[in-house]
Amino acid sequence: MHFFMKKLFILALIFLLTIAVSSDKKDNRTLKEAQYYTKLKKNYVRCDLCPNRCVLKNGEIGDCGVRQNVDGKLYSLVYGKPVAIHVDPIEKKPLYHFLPGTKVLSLATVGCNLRCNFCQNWTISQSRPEEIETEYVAAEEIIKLTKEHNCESIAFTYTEPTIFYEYMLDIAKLAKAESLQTVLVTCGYINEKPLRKLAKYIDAANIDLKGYSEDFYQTYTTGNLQPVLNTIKIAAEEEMMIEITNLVIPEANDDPRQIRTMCKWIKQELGKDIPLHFSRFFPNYRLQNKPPTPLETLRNAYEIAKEESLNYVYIGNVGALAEDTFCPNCGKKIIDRSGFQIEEIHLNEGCCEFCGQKIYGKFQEK
Amino acid sequence: MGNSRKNSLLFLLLGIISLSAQTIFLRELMMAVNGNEIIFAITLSLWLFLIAIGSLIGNKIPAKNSIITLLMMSLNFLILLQFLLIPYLINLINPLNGEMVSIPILFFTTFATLTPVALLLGILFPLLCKTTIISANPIQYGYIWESIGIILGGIILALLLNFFSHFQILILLTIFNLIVFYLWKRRLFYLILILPFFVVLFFSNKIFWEIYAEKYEGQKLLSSQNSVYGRLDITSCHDQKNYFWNGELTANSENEFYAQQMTNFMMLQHPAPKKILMIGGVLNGSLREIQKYDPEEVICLELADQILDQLPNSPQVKKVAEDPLRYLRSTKEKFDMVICDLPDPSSLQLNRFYTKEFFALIKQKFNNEQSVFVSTLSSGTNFMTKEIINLNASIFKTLKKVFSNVQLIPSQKNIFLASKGNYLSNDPEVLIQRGKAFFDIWFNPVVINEKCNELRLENIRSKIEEENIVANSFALPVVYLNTLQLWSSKLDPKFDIFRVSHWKLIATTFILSGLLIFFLQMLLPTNNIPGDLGIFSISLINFSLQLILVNYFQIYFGYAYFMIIFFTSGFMTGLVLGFYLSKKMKLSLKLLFLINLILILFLFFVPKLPAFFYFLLNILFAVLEGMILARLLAEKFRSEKLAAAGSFYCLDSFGAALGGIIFGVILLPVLGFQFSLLILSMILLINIIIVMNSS
Repeated sequence: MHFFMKKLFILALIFLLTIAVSSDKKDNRTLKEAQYYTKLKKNYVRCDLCPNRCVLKNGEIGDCGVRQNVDGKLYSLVYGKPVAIHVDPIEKKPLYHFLPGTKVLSLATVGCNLRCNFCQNWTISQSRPEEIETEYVAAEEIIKLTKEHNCESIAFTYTEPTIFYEYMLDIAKLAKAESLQTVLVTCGYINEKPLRKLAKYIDAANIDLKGYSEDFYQTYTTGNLQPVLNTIKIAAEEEMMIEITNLVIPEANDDPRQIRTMCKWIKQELGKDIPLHFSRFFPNYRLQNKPPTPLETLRNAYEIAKEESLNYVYIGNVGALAEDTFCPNCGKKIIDRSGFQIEEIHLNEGCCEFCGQKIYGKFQEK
Repeated sequence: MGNSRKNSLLFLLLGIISLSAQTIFLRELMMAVNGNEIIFAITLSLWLFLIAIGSLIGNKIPAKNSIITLLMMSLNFLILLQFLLIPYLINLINPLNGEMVSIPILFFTTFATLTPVALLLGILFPLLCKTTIISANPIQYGYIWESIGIILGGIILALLLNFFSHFQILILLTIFNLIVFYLWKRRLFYLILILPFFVVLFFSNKIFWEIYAEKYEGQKLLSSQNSVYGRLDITSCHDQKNYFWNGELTANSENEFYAQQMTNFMMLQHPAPKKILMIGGVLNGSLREIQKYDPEEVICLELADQILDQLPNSPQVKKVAEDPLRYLRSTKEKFDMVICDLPDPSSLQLNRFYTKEFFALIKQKFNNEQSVFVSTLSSGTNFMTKEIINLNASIFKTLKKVFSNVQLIPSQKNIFLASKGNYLSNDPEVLIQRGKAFFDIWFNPVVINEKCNELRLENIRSKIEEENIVANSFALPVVYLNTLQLWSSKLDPKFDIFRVSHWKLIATTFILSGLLIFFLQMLLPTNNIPGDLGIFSISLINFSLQLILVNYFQIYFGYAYFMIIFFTSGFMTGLVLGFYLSKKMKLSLKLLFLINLILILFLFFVPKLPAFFYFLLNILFAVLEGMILARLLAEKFRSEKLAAAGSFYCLDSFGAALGGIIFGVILLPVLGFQFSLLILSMILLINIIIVMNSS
C-alpha cells in the first residue's frame, strides 16, 4: 500500500510539474535597428544612447526594456508602436513660454531608462513591449493626426522619449518639413551625441530636474544627477527653448538648501530667464503613502527661487498660487492663467505689451 | 501545586498567551500595512507554520521544569519587545518612507515579528506534554486545556479591547503570567518583577505614542483612533492634514486639484441634484464642491465616527457612521445622486461596494429615472495597462448588468456614471454648456476638453467594452482579483503570482505543498503515514473552511477582523466539544468525514447566510475536527507514546498553515469560493479513501 501511494504521489508531482513549467507562447516583435551603439566582441553590444550605457549579450534587453541585442545588432522594439496618443493643452507639459493656449499632440511608447518610484506615468514607463499589443503607427500618420486635431505641435512625452529615439527623430524630421513645432518632455537622461543630433529638430523642451543631489537621484530614480545637468546645458547651447520642472517631494528633495543650490546653478549656467516650475507631488506608483507636498513647502521653494532672482517661477498642480507670468521689467501680469486655461495674454511679438521688454520663449503672433 | 493542577494551569496560560499574542500581532500588522484578506492569510499561516517548526524543536528538548519556566518567562518579554518593534521593523526594512510594502518585505517583516514568539509557543506544547504524568493521554489532555485557554483568552481579550490598547493588554498579560508563576513557585521574585510592569503600564500610552509616531517621518502625528473597521491616524505637515486609514493615505486637506476635477464632472450628470448620498471620500474636499450645487441634503456615510468627526458641521450635511451595505438595506431614503468614492477594491471588504448586488441595492434607492450613481476607479493617467483595463472593464460590465445607461469620464481616477435615464453625458460641448456657472481653476473648458477629448474617450471605450468579461459579484469577486493583479504589477512585475494562468498556479501550489509534506514526513518519527496524513489534512481542510467562513462574513458583513476573536474562540469551543463527544459517541471515522463533506457541500450551494449561522457552522466544523482528531490522536499515542506530542502538534499546525496559504492566498482570490470549496471536497474525499483503507 505504501509503495503504491509513494508511486502515485511521485507521478502526480511529475504531472503537475509538467503543467507548471510549460512556457508561455512568445509574441512577435517589430524590430528596427537602433542608432548609437557599439559592437563588441562575442556578439555583445553597448548601447550609447543614454548614460546607462547597457552592455548586452545576444538576446538581452537594456535597462529601458525596449532595446535588444539580436545577433550582435541593437534593435529598437518600439519603433512605430506608440501606446498613448492624446491631445493636451501645452500648459500641461508644462510649457508656459511656448505657444500658450495651443493644443499639442502628445505621444509615447512603453519603457523608460529610469525607475522613479513616484512615476506619474508608471503604466507607460514600467510596461514592456511584449506585454502590450499595439498597432503600427507610421511617422507620417502622426503628422496627419496632428493636423486633424488642429494641434500646433507634437510632444514626445509621458515616459522618457530617449528610449524611442529613432521613432521620435523620424517624426520630428517630418514635422519640421510640415512646419509643425516639436516638443520634448524629458528627464534629460540622454548622451551628448544623440541629443545634439535630435536638437536640430526640436523647438522646445521641458526638462525634469527631479532633485539637486546625487543621493536623491540614486535612491528614488536609479539614475544620476550629473548627466541630467549636462543635458540641460547642451539643450540650452543648441538653442532649444527650455523650461525646467522640479517635482517637490516631501522629505525627499524639499530641503530648502538644496533648492537654493539648484536655483543658483540655473541662474549661473543658463541665465535667470529660464522658467522654473515647482510641481506638487501627489502619491503615485509605489510612493503611495507619502502625502502630497504641503502648499507651504511650495511657497517656500518659490520664495527661494525669487530670492535667487529667477524671472519666471511657477507652482504647478495646485490652485492659483503662482501660475501667471509677470514682466520681469515692469512687473505687470502679461499672461493670466487659470489652471491650463489662458484668460489673457499681453504680449506683442514676444515683448511685454506694457513696457516692450523681451520675454523669454516662443509666442504666437497677434 | 500538584502536577495535574500545575500543568493544566500552564496549558491554560499557554492558550491565553497564544490567542492574545496571535490576535494582537495580527491586528497590528494588518493595520500597519493596510492588509487585505491575503495578507491576513499569509500572516496567520506563517504564525501556524512557525508553531509547527517550534513543536518539532520542542520534541528534541529535555522536559525540565527549569527550562519550561525560563521559556515561559522569555515568552512574555519577547511578546512585548516584538510588539514595540513592529513600526521599527517596517521602517527598517522599507527605508523609503511612504513607499508601498512589497510582498517580500511584508513577508520578512511578518517573519521577524512573529518568529520568536510563535517558535516558543510551538516548543512549549510538547515540553509541557512530556511533564504531564497524570493522564492516560497527556497530549489530548494538554490539547484540550490549551484550547480552553484559547477560549478564555478570546473572552478576556474581547472584554479588554473595549478599555485598553493593544500594548496595555500585553502588559496586563505579562503581569497575569507573573502572578501565575508566583502561585506556582511561591517565590517573592515574581511579585517584585511585577512592579516595573505596573510602571510601564502607567506610561504605556506615552511610550507607545513615541514609538508609533516614528512611522510618520516628517509629519506630526495628531491622533490615532481605533474602530471596529480599523484605525484612523491623522498627521500634519505645515498646514496640511493627512488622513491614514489602516496605515494607508486616503485623503488630505488642501486638495482642490482633485476635488474640482472629479466632483464637478459628477454633479453635472443630474439636472438638479437635491438629495445626495456620499459613500466615502468625504475628507478629500468633494463636499465643498458639492455644496456649490446647492443641494438640500448631503448624507455623508463613512465606516467610522472618527472620519466624520473631521467634517465641519453644516445644516445641509447629515453624518452617518455605518457600513454602507447595512445602511442601504435598512434606509427608506431615496436619492438623486449616490457618489461612491472609495479606494480600489483591494480587499474583500471593499470589493462589496463594486458588486452587482451593491449596485442593485443602490438602484432601489433612486428617487426617479434621472437619479445617478457614480463610482470611481484607478486609471492610468495616459495609458491603461492590462491590469487596469481588466479592472475597469469588470466594473463597466457589472454596472451594465444593473443600469441601462453607463458612461465613463477619464480622470486621475476614472469616473463611472450609471443611471436609468438618459441625462448622462461625457460630451465636452454638453458639459461646458451645463457647467458654465461652476467654472474654476481646475474645472473649465480646457480641462473638460482635455479629459473628454475624442481620442481619449475612444481609446478607453474600445478597451473596456469587451464582451468576455465576467461581472463582479459577492460569490465571484473578480474585481478583487483584478486589483490584486494591479497591486502586484506595481510592486514587482517579475514577482507576480496573480498573472500566471490558473492551472499553472494550482499546479505549482500543489507541487510545493507536496514537497513540503514529503520533507515533513522525513522529519517526523512516524510509522503511520495514513494516520498522520489524516491529522494533517483534516487540519488543512477545516482551517481552510474557517478562512472561507471568515471571508464570506467579510463579504456580507464587512467587519470580520473585529469578529476574528469570536471565530477563533468559537472554533476552539467546538474542538473541545468534539474531543469530549468522541468519548461519548462512538461514531465511525467514515461517518464523521461524510458529515464534514455534506457541510462543505451545503456551503457550496448556500453561501448567503445570516451572521449567526456563520458562527454555528464554524463551531460545527470544529466539533467534527475535534472528534476526528481525538480518534487519530489516540491511535498515534498508542503507537508513539509521548514522542507523538511534538509531531501531532506539528501536523495539526502545519496542516492549518498550508491550508491558509493554498486557499487563503491562492485559490480563494484566484478561483473564487465555489471552485475552492469543490477542491476542498475533493481533498476530503481523497482523505476518506486513504484513511479508510489504512484503518
